[in-house]
Amino acid sequence: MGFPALSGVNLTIEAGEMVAIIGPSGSGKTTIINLIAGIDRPTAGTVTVNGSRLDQMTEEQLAVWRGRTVGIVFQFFQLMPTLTAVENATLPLDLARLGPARERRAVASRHLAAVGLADRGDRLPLELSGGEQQRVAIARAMACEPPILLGDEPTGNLDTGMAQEMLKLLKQQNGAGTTVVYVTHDPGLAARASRVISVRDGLIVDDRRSQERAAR
Amino acid sequence: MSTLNRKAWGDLSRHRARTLLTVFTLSIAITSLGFLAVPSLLNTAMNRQVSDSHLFDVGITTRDLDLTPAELGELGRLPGVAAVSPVDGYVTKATSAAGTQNVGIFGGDLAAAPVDTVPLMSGRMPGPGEVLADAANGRATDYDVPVGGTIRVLAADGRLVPLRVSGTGMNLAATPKANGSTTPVFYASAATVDAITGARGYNYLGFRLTDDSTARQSLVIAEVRAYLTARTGSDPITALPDTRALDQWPGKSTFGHIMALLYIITILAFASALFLISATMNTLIAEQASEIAILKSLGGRRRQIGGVIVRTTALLGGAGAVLGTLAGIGIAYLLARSFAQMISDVNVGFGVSVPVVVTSLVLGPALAVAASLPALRRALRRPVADIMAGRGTVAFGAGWLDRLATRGGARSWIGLSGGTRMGIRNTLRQKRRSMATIAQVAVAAGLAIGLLALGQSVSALITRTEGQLRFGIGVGLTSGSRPFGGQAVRIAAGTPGVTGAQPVETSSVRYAGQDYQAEGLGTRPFYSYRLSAGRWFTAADAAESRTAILPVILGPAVARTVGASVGQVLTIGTPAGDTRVQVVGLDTVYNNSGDEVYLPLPALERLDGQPGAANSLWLTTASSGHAAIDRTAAAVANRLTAAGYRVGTTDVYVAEADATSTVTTVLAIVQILGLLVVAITLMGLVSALSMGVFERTREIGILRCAGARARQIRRVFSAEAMVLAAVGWVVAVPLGWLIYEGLSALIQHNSDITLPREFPAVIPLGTLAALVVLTLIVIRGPLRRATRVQPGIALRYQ
Repeated sequence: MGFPALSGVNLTIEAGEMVAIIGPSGSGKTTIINLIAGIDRPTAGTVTVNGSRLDQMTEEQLAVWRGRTVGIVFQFFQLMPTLTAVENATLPLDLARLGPARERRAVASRHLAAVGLADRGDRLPLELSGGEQQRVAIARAMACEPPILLGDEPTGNLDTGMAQEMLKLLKQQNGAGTTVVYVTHDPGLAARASRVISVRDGLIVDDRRSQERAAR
Repeated sequence: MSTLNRKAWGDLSRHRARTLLTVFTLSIAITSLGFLAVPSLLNTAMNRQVSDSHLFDVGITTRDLDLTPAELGELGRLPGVAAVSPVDGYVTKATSAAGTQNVGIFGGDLAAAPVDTVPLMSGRMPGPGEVLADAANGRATDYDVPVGGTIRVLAADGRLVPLRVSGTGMNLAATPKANGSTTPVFYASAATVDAITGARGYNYLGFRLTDDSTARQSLVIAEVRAYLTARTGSDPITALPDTRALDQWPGKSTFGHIMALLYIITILAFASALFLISATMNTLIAEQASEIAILKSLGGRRRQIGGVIVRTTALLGGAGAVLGTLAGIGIAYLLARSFAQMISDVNVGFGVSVPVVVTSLVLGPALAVAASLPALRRALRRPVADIMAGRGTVAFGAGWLDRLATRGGARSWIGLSGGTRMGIRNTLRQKRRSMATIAQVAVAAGLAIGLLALGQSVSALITRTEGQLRFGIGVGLTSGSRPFGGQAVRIAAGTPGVTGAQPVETSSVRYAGQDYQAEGLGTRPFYSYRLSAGRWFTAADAAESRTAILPVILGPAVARTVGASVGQVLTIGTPAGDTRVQVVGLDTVYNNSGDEVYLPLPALERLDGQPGAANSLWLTTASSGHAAIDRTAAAVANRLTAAGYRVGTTDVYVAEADATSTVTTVLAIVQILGLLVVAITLMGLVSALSMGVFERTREIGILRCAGARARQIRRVFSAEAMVLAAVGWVVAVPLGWLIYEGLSALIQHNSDITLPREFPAVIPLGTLAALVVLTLIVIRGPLRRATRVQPGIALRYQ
């Protein structure tokens, strides 16, 4: 028997928003990200993302949908250890078969260059620092240029400087029109989002936009 | 139960699928030990049959002797003789619903005989005008007359005598299968056989001795010869006496040769399984690295932590041992039963070899623990901080091989999908396990290549040997018949369809305790000898057959065993006693497995006590068609029978087919058992991939998050399996050649047969194709597991 990670949650995120989800450990933050990504399925209720009812899709349909619709950045980077940086960044393109095969590597190299790793493309994850690995993870998440970018504590394993750098990258993506939703424990990093949602014991206890926060 | 013991139990139940896989792996290794029980189970069954049959220690074939009960009593009281039983053997033509062919009818006291008893296996003992059918007739000779059926046999006076089959029985001395004969055998009372032959008497005496030492056997043979010669006025022994050494039974030496191959397969299977166990244990311990670090950080000493893991592995080993032992008992029983049926249709009751069972039960836990110790030692020595820091990523890229695989062939990776690339490089992540899997694939594929090449060589040998016999029909005398003289040769040669006839004397000789088939041939026989040294017989040899030292030509196996060279003088045992011979030639043809001794025809006729008359004819035929040969053989038999000869015919094509069939059967058994090694290998592949799926569950989740479809996940693991199989095959080709050479050498050592070298490229290529297909089939399970991983669960997987 499990326990409900979320209960009575009714959440709508508009396209182009940059949303931070905060809350203590076990509050349900990651579950919200997983539901948006179609990684977890709701036991009750519905999840609609970009017009698609995720709770009605099969695992295979969800995989294809994810490949084209969302990019995910994890706390522990989760790069494929046997692939080089550029190969990791090419992987979603290969999986989604986006564009001609020969051009995918060039697209991935451009994404790597965008995160400042133009000269590190042939390195394996083991040969990269934590910050570099996370930037590769962002390049991988952006490979198919999805409309939604999700981060599950993307800065949780980085030092403060690196974390700020990472937020800058996410902000850049948001500025380019990508909806960004990320989980963080750090109120300072959360404050850089346009909307902050507080979760506690599986319930949304607070949901404010930046203007409201400024007004307070 | 202490917390540490509870953890040992808990570690088993935490990943049930993996625990089951490990236990199954261990059980396969232990199962292979079951092969070792086969000889003792078979020996027990055969010795029981020997005991039930009161099988002879010495068997003496004579011309027809009318021995009185008093004379038989005196023979039974000769020094060293414990019991004697006379048998009247008669070979004649029989007709039944199963067809018409030559059958052997043995008359004696059957179940009551103190020697060469015929135990009843079904039905009832035969009364007057009835026979028991040998239980092996159906399988060995394809002449299956059911109980209640009737055979009509040709009596000496030309009458057809109906004999009802009252039941089945079997005597090891006569049963066709054990003696390599294709003539069906029936047992009857002496009176019934006398009624068919029209004469009283016996032509075979079976003796059991008070001790069956070789010296005692020789002494008894000499006493019997002297006694019978004194009673009948001449030496009545017409063939080299049969002697049976202690614990010997018919077919034992053949079975010994097969077992030598089986032992090799057992060793390979066991070695293969050891690789698998070692790899499995390494993985299990590597996965517990973080827990080891946690226990250390809590103050656990190496001995305590090691104890927990050793207990876990011992439990796994114990479970594997129990399962493997049970499977081994079953396999050993099935193998012993099939070998017993192959040798003589003896019924092997269910039995267990206690030493093998005990060894299996002890080796299971011991092997599991021993296989885990190196990995455990490494894990316990790692600093806590290193292990803790190592969570999250797998250390790929640290070694030169990793870098070579990543960057060395950068251009060659272009065109391969990310999934395929990952799969290929994944083989380098767990190098020890990959090496173990490759080794297993290599052993199995190598064994397959070796055995297939061996089969090819045996087939080539049979084909080459068959081509040396240039006659189509062999005609043999049955007991009691007058020998073939010039008249018989003329009758046979004059039969329509026959183009040539040669008299041949067939007998046995003994050298250094070993019996060899002897053939008395002319100067230009219907046999294409290929001499490696010396010469064939000349007219002078035939003319000088009464000289003190006879010329002989030795078959290749005899020559090697004896270590003979041209010019050497040997003393051989013959039906007439010890005889000095001089080697004049060495043959290279494996006629009768190379165990042939050739003598000039007149010389062997004289040694067999029938100078100027032979006991066989070789006939060449106008047509090589089987139907024409069959018709010609029947016509020859009828004409010779009409002339007063009692004959049996053998079609050479049938004998060759039987020989091929026997060899093919043995090879098939060995090759089927080789499948066990292949099964272990495939299990190794399944295990390696399953472990890969377990270990990379989180990665599968990430791939799913990145949009990977089921077939793309499958491609990652399929590529990994294919690389392992392909590299294994590359190693297997030279290994297979070595196995082939080793088995050929073993056969040469055991059987004195030099096989022609046959190692065509189609065998390794065919093995590669089979390996690819099998790999694709067996990895379906792990692949299904991989594609069913739910990303949400995968990302939380520890």
